[in-house]
Amino acid sequence: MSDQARAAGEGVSRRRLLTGAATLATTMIAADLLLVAPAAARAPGEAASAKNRWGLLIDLAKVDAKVCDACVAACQKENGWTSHGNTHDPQWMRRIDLKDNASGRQVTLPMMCQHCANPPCVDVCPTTASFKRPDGIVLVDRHLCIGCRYCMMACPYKARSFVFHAVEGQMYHAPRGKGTVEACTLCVHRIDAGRDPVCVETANALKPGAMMFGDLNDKASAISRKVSQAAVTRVRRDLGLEPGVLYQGL
Amino acid sequence: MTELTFREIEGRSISYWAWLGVLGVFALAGMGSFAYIEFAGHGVTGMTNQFVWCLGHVISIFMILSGVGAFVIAAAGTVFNRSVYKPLAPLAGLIAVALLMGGLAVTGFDLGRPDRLTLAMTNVNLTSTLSSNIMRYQGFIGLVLIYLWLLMDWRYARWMKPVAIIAFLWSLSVSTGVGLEFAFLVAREAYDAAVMAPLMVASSFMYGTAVVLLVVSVAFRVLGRPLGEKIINRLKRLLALFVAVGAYMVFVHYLTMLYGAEHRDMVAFLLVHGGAVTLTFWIGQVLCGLVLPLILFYAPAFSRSEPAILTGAALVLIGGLAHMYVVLIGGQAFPLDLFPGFAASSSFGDGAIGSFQPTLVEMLFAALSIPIAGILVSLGIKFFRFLPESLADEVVDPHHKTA
Amino acid sequence: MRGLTSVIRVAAVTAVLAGLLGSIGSALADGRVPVPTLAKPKGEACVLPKDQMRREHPDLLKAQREQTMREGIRGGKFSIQDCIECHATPDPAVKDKVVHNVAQFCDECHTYVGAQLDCWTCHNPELDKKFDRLSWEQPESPEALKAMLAAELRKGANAQ
Repeated sequence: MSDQARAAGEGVSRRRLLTGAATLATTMIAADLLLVAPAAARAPGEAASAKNRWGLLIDLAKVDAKVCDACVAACQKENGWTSHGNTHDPQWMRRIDLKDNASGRQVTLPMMCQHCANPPCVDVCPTTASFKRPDGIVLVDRHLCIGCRYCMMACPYKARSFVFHAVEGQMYHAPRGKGTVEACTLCVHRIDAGRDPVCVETANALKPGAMMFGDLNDKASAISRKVSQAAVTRVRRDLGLEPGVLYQGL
Repeated sequence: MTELTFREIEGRSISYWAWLGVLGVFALAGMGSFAYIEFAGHGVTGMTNQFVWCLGHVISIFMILSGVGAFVIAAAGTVFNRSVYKPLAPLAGLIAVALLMGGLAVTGFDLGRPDRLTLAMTNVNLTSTLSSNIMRYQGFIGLVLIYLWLLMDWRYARWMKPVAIIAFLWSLSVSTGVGLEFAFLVAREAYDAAVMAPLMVASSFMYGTAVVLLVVSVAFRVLGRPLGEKIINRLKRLLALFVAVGAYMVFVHYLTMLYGAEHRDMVAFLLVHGGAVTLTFWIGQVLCGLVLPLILFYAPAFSRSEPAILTGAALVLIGGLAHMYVVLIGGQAFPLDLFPGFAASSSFGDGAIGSFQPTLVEMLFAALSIPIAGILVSLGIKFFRFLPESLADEVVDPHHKTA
Repeated sequence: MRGLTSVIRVAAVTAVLAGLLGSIGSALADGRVPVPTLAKPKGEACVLPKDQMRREHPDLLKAQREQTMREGIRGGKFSIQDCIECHATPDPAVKDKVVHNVAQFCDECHTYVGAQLDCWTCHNPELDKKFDRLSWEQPESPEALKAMLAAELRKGANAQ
């Protein structure tokens, strides 16, 4: 009975998502962009595969403070975290304003977990709570996290937050609790259901083509084709961590 | 009386119980603070998402290093055949274990989920320095306890030297591990240097020797057991050497950081315009921890004065705490440089120097490691034969000739 | 070794005293932990027979948690969310509205057997308006999304 209810629920949400995606795709064609079909949802029972390497491409020519703030707001809503700018508030995603010291050029970009191929947080975690899923998504297993915060020391991107107070009202797909560490999940719940991360949907709604999500391992995917042509930057590439989040126009 | 004998302390005097009482009050305050932080969340401390390892780590890493260093004195008699240190071996071993336990208690209680500490033993991550350090700590405590037992049970005397050598090498791996815990943080400018490992080894020798020197001197005075000049002077000479080596390591550390142009802003922050961090560095770490002790230990005017020696040892410990504060708080106050060549700003502290404001509960909690270690040592010398009856010159050195 | 024996003696006496005090304390306490009287769940039957669920639910939940989280296998049979779906009961602590919460159901047995439960520090035990909370209600057109985001931003959700 519950299975049926769930299947029905999923049917509804999938239909809604498909219409949404169709409208989005139309917008993108209009903007002379690539035809983006959302990645297919994995069938129930199918494991995430190392054949995929999920990644993001963020086009800084289209991203401004407004887009960044909208993405952050959408991320908060989607994953049930709030930040009022206090030092104890988490920030799974944040806006960074940059100014080139030499030229004075200004850039604004969203910063979050870069889902490294060689994540330092996974290396340093004393309990294997920090882990990388086969498809490259870096997550915190809150069942094992003891809150030692070594991953926060190790992360070059300041992408992780510690939960300083008790929380309630968590989203079903994003459990979070006091005394553990958390970060961007790349909206793993959406990816598993065949949807784009919420920041990508949000950014593209405001500025079509601002963010792209896809499989970096699939040479035919839209993101791979774009990455192979455009000049993209990986933040702190010198560290050799091979982030899955790429920036264009930095 | 020139024979070396060990005896428990009476431990019934009012002053002994008063001492335990004072430690107990601090321990209770620390436990209460721990319970409060546990209940309310780490939000009641000065920790933020910028400062994630704070006072608890400052003190506990200091205690762990001191404990490891104290074992040098415990092992010196057996490993290096320095017979002058043999009378101190049981006490120094006890101090090593007690300091480590005090430090580890606070490290464990400081976790976001201390109730899950055992997970760190059941889910080991071999690439994690923290994970392997937990094993190093446990192994070290185990080895020191075996060594203490061998020191008292002469039936197995032939095992004493091998165990002491293994334990000594192990102790080096512990302080090296503490250094590597920092050195492997590739993105943290203040830590990302191999020199962190030898720096921590040198620091541990310095702090450990200073603790043993202070405990021996104070305990023998209070207990009224004979304490000769010889042992104190030997400890002082050793400590002075360790301080000199430690000062050199600190110098090299900053030199290596300064050499790369990319780190200059960070070093300038620590050494020139870091406010409290800069003050702590120059006054606490350099002046109190290195310069004044070296003067007190080496200047002919003070060289035989016991108050000067004790002051020097105490200053070394203050300097040690300052050192840990500068490493941890200073290192985290300086922002991560995600975009070299850009000036960054955000609502999450990017590009901005952070300011750390500890709270009272956090201080009481962090200080908990000190009463724990103090209580362990005080009880240890009451129930076990750790303290020599006499450390008079003729006991310490059989060839001593009374003038 | 006299020191050691006295330590053991002190420890033994303390343990005996603690045990005595504990049993006196529990005897004095008024009544005992009530025997669980579990509310009738929604639906016909659980995913497995009752006896098996009683014995094995921790292992089943744990096994599925590993699969879902580490391997990304979705749609398993032993989802904690499905537990909430059928076993949540009205929360007496919430006054104004009816909120279904599974924590009471779990606590009844867990308190009775003295087993600590650590799910609800991170998972939300409440059965929220909708079971399928894959995502927030997102407007279907980009314009509506824009308008909604603008409203969100005005609220200062990300005050800077």
